[in-house]
Amino acid sequence: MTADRFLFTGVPTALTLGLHLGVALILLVRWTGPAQVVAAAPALEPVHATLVQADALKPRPAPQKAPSVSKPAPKPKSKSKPKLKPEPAPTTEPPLEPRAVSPEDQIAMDAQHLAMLTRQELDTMMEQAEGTGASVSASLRDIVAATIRAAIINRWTRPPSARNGMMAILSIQLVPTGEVVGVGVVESSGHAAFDRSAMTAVERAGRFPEVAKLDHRLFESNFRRFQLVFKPEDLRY
Amino acid sequence: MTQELGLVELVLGASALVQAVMLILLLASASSWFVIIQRVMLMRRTDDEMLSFEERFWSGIDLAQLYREGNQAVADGQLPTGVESLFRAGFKEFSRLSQQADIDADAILEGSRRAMRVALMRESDRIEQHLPFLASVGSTSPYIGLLGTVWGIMHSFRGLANATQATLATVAPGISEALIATAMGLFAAIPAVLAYNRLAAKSDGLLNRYETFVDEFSGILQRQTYALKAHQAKRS
Repeated sequence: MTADRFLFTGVPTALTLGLHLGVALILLVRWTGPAQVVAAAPALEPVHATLVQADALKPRPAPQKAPSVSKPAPKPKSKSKPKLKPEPAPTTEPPLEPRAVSPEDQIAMDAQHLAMLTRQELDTMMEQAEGTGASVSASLRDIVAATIRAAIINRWTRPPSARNGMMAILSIQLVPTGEVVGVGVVESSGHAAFDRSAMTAVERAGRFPEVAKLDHRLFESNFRRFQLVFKPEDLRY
Repeated sequence: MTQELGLVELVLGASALVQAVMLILLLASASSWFVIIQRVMLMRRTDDEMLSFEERFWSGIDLAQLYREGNQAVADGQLPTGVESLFRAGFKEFSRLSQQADIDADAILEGSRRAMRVALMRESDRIEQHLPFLASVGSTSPYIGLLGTVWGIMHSFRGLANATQATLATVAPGISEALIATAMGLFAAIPAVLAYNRLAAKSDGLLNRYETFVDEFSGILQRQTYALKAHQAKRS
């Protein structure tokens, strides 16, 4: 009877414990591998990925002068200038196409997060600029441009009739505090709803506080009046 | 943000209720596995005992002889289990009743049948013991896990409401740790449901065979009773 009792409690207990410990062990061992990848991914990805989206949508200020990027900016993202507005002098930089990074990253990215990142970068860049002077101004301008772009993209809701390849060019006027004082269509896409959605996006953005931190010269040459290209490329149709 | 998303961190980082849910589910899983293994062992042994006993029973052995063989084990403190306990209960009652002279055959049969039915009830209790527990684990532990998940997701979204920068990364760890609760619930429930269905079918089959045995044995006893009564009538 005692041997029986041992058989009917000891064996199931041992098997149960073994089973659960085994499952836990397998999970733990398997988990540590991908865990590092998961942990590392969010730190790096948004910078590249978000820019892809920003490019894909492609509203960006047209620079007035060829940027003289003498100092390599710490952020590779700030270099990404897609097809530039041909209106002013074309830039000397090769048009990097980070769009090719990986299309599925686009899903993971987050425009707001980009805005936060760029804002932080902007602050650090501002501090640097005070020390080193004008050489940083070109990349600083790029960062501010990217911030503006992200802010507008965030507020841009495309109408259902929007299709890939549509393009509208808007001209935007700012005052040194960063407020938008004027928006106008330079080149219509041919769809009134599309043009209106782009203008609404700029009006909703309303103010770009980052611009207020720029020094006067940089503002006058780049942001007093600039053009934005609205050209969705991430749509399904 | 560069947070380690290991299993241990996820479990330790969960809120108290989610942790409680995980603990409950772990206990439910462990105890249901305990019951499963114990029941499977018990049923297998009962099956074997039944086969060997039936083999002996139908081998043409004298029933009194078979009963006396069992006496030895009972004297050692081993209570008869399975089909043997049915046989012993029936035969004991039969021999006790048939020693009384002025009792008719139907009363003897009725008495031994009743004794066997009692033993059958006891056996079915023994076999089906703890099976309802498996059924409850199988049906409730997904809900318990779901409760933990809903609570965890609720928490992580509430944290999101306060954050100015609402990114996927702020809610992802919370949701991930909350989903562990559902996974554990399913982990506990699936084997419990499968085992419950299998064990219930098996115990049904076993009890059916017991009943068949009771009927067969009653037939044998009936024959013996009438033979006995006829013998007594001839003598008197």
